[in-house]
Formats: sequence, structure tokens, C-alpha cells
Amino acid sequence: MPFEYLESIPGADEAFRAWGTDLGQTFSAAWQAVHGVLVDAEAEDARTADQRRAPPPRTAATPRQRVVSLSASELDLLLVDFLQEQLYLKDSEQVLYQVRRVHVRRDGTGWSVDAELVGAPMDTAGTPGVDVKAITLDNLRVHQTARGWEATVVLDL
Amino acid sequence: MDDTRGLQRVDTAVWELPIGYRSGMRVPVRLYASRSLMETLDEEVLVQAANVACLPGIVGYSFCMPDGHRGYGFPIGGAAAFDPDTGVISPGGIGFDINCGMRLIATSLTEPQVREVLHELVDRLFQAIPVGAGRTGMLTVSPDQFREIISEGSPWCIRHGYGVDEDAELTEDGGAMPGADPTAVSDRAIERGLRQVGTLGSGNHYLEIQVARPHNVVDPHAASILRIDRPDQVVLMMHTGSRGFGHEVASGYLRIFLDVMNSRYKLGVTDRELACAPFGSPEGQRYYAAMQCAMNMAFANRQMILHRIREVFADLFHRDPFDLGMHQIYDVTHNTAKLEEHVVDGQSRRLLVHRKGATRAFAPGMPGVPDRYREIGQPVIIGGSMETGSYLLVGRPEGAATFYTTAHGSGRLMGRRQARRTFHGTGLLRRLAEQGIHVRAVSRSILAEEAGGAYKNIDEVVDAADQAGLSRKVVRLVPIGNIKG
Repeated sequence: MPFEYLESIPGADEAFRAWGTDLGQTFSAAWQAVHGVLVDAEAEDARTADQRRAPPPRTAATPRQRVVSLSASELDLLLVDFLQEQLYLKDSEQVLYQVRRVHVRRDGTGWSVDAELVGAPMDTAGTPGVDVKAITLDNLRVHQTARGWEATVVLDL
Repeated sequence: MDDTRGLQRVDTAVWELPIGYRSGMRVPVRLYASRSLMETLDEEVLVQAANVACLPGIVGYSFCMPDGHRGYGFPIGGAAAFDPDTGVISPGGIGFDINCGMRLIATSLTEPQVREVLHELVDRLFQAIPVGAGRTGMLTVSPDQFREIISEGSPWCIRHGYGVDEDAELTEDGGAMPGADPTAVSDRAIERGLRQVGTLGSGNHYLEIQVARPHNVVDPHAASILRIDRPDQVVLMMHTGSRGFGHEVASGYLRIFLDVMNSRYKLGVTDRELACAPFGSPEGQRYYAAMQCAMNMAFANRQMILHRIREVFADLFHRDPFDLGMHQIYDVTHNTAKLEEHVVDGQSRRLLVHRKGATRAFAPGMPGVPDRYREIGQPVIIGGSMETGSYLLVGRPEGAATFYTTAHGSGRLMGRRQARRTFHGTGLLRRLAEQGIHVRAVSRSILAEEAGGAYKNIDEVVDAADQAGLSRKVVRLVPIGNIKG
């Protein structure tokens, strides 16, 4: 997955760098990084192949689908709003969504994102991780690189 | 100069960073810490405290408590008072978890009585109290009922049978903030909070079973007024806040302030997490009214958890919870901004005091201290890590120097990811079990983030607060059981 959690930002409860060849991929990777905090990725990795093949403990619900469209004056603030949507949906619906498709574009003087999400109820989404309190503005950065786009985000846990 | 960073030592546990440390500072920074705590202090804390000192309308000093560590915007352990007419309000000075706080509950049980059933008790509490990300709470309420809860706070719960009047009386501000206006709260925030009343959360939020051992009672008289009056008495401590509701209020208004602070109010800040608005502006007033709603949500949240704890004890011990001495000792908030009266240069002034990871500690006899505690001062509940213990303190007159503010916890020394790499959940569980501490957590890997070694030494933090005159020790509490998300 094109993201890595960072220890190089002192004082950050959690921080990550996400990247992609275009902004859509970068936004999608950042979403996945937040998802990886809400679900305990290490505990999931520790599950055996048999456990992972075993049927989920509860009846799998029909996947939920959602469309999200957001605009912001700045690209980095658009990413914050986009990631904040995951926290909102987690609490308001108790559903953890993944990004199925995402498109980021310039919109006049600002930026817009349109995304299709597909989700599963939190109690079937894996081992619970840590609740994320906020997508912060601390050390926030979205910038173009030789290979595409890269974002740095700090989370308050 | 006493320190290469430009700090001047003012007293044994008081340090000052003068106005010249960085340009734009309106007041000096005052830090409260022992020399050894100062030696481990992250340089960025000084920068953050100095940034706060640049905000318009700040009065006196930008303060940093002994547990100070790097936060977002303000340092955690930061406090600052602003003139309500000329100053600002900043969500970054309160924190994303509005009214994150501590509640302490007495029992008449002693350690041997609880040890007999400790595992079952911890397991039952873990089952009964929703913990971890995304868990729904104990109440099913409509949006209108939720608006009532955030308008009223703890008294709403008590009115509906989830507690007794004394619980609210022994909560900071009676568990009900004036001026809470649900119309200042976004629908998104209400949707997030609707199912979260009575949920513990995760991260460093917990419910702990603790013991007051006789040798840890520093002031037996004050302890007895605080209902800690028998050897090896068991108490319960919880740490949680306003959950996703408060997080949404804070994040939403941070963005609103970011949009207007420069364009409308010509306010510039070096760190966007310090986004602010004049307290008297429409945006400032609306945030304050919404923040009061989040304060009330957190008080109600802790009240519902208290109710559930009493149910678990009554069920397990087959006795009425009040026969088990389950009175609330006190409830404090450590992420807030409050309008308070303080004396500045001999004049009484109304100030908006921001406390982020810092606890109000009113002195004996002050208005706002419950009658029961008027003689000893406002109780202060300081939570340590699950390995090291916690404290019950009281406010004192010398606290006037910080507008009656003291520490709130141990303060992080190590990042969560670093802690997870350094300590291992399974090993920590084993070590805790060897010390007689039974823990139930949603995830073992996350448990490691809360290892004692990831935090500052709680004894050193509390001693520094004591030495600096910010608060006075009453009893040290040691854990025997813990549940966490």
C-alpha cells in the first residue's frame, strides 16, 4: 500500500506519508492509512491464514455504498476534509468505508474531490484499532514530486 | 541565564522564557518543572508556548505545566488567560477532545475484598462499558433528546434516573455548563455524538480500579473529607471525554476560524492549529456556545459510565451501590476554556482561561469549590499510566500564580509508535499481572502505547506541581485493574 507511518514527526500521536502517481491515488492511500489506525493492522497481520479464511463472527452485512463530493480552497485542506469524512461516517453510521474510486480536480480557484466509497459495519471490519480524534493541520503537506503526489498527515488519537 | 535555551530559573520549580525568545510575544512564558523534567523537555514545547504568548489579549503569562509536552497548536499542559473584550478564543487551546477529563469514585470496599473477585469484576466492567473505536453507547436517544443532553449535561442523566444529585454537585461546574447552545452545533456533530453517550473511547482513555494504600495517604484529614478513610480502600478512576461529538465541534470550528481569522479579523498565526477568533466575534461566541455543548456531552458521558459501573458492582456484590460507598469523589475537566474571575495586578478581572491538558485547581474557600470541599480546596484528579499510579490532589492559595491551574497527567515522553516498538503488549500484560494488575484491552498491540515507560514519571510531575505551589498532594492511588479501548 502506498503509505507509511512515520516516527520522524516528534510529538505526533500518529503520522503518515501517502503517495501516488496522481492526486486520486494519493488521497486514496491517505484514506487507507487512516483506516489502518481505526483497524488494528498489526493484530490483523498476526491472525493466521486459517483465521482469515474463517467466516466472520457475525453475518456479513450487505456492503454499504456512498458517494462523497467535497470542495475546499486549498488542496491540503481538501485532503483534511476528505479524511475527516471517514471519522464522521465511522461515528454516525458505525461503518468503516474504503475508497473504490476517487477523483481530485482543480475547481476554479479551489479544489474538489468526488469519491465512491464502499463500507462494512465496524463490528465486522476487523480488530478494532485506536479511535482517531482528528485529522490535524500539524505538519500537513500535499505536494507534487517527480513521481506524482505526496501527502504528510498527522493524526490526533 | 540558567539554561542554554534562554530559560531563566525563577524559583525551584518555576522557569521563565522572556518576551525576547521570539518576536511577537506579548507576555513571557512560565514553565513549572523540576530541573530533571526541564532536561527532558522537548524544545518544541518552548516554541509552542511562545507562539501562544503571541496571541492577542493574553494576560500574564503563557503557562506550561510540569507534564507539558508537544501538542497541536498549544502544548499539552498549556494554559493561557485572555481578556474577553480584546482577546481570542482558540480551539487549539482547548484540544480536539473537549472536556476530556477525569472522574473518581469511592467505594467502601478494601483491596482484599476486591482481589477475591478482581478478574470477574474487570471482565464484567469490560463487557458492560462500551470501549474502543466505533462502539455505540448505553443510551438510545433521538436528535432532540441529544440536544437536551448537550444543553443540560450531567443533570439530564440524573433527571432520567442515571445517578443522584450529589454526582452533579461533586462535578466541576455542577456538570452543566451555562450558555450551551445546540443551534451553534453542526448536524454532523450531532450525528456523530448521538450514539456515543456512555462510551469510554480508546487511546489513553480508561477505567481503572485503584487502591489507596495507607503509606500513600499524604494528608489523612483531606483524604477523609474526600471519602478515602480506610486502609487499602478501593476507588475507581475514569478518563474519557466528549467523543466524536466534541472532536467534530473542534475540527469544524477550527476550519471556520481558519477561514475568517485573517480575512475578517486580520489575525495571523504561525501555526494553523492556533487558528482563533476574537472571543466577542460572532464566530468566537458560536464556538464558545458549541464548546459548552461538548463540555456537557462529556459530563453526561462520564455520568452514564458511572451509572453502569454502579450497576456492575451492585450485581456482583449483591448490594446497593451506595451501601458499597459508591459516591462520586469529584469530576474534573482538563481540556476547556472558561470565564473566571481572577486578580491581576490587584484588580479583579474576568478572564477566559484556556486549559489544554491542564486542570483547574481552585483554592480552599473559593467560589466554585463544592461546600463539602470548601475547607480543603478543589479536588484535582491526575491520571498516571496503568503501570505507575495516579494522584488525588487539592488546590491551594499559591495557585493564583497560574490562575489556579495545575497538571493533568503524566505527560508523554515517547510517541505511540515508538512505544509500540519499545514495549510489547503481551509482555506488558505479563508484567502487569506479576504486579497484581489485571487488564482487559480491545487490542494488545495498542496496549503497548500506554506502557509506563512511554510517560513522564508521575511522582516527579506531581512533586513539581507541589513544589511550585500549584496543587497539594492528598493520596497516591495504585492500580489493580484496568479496562481500555
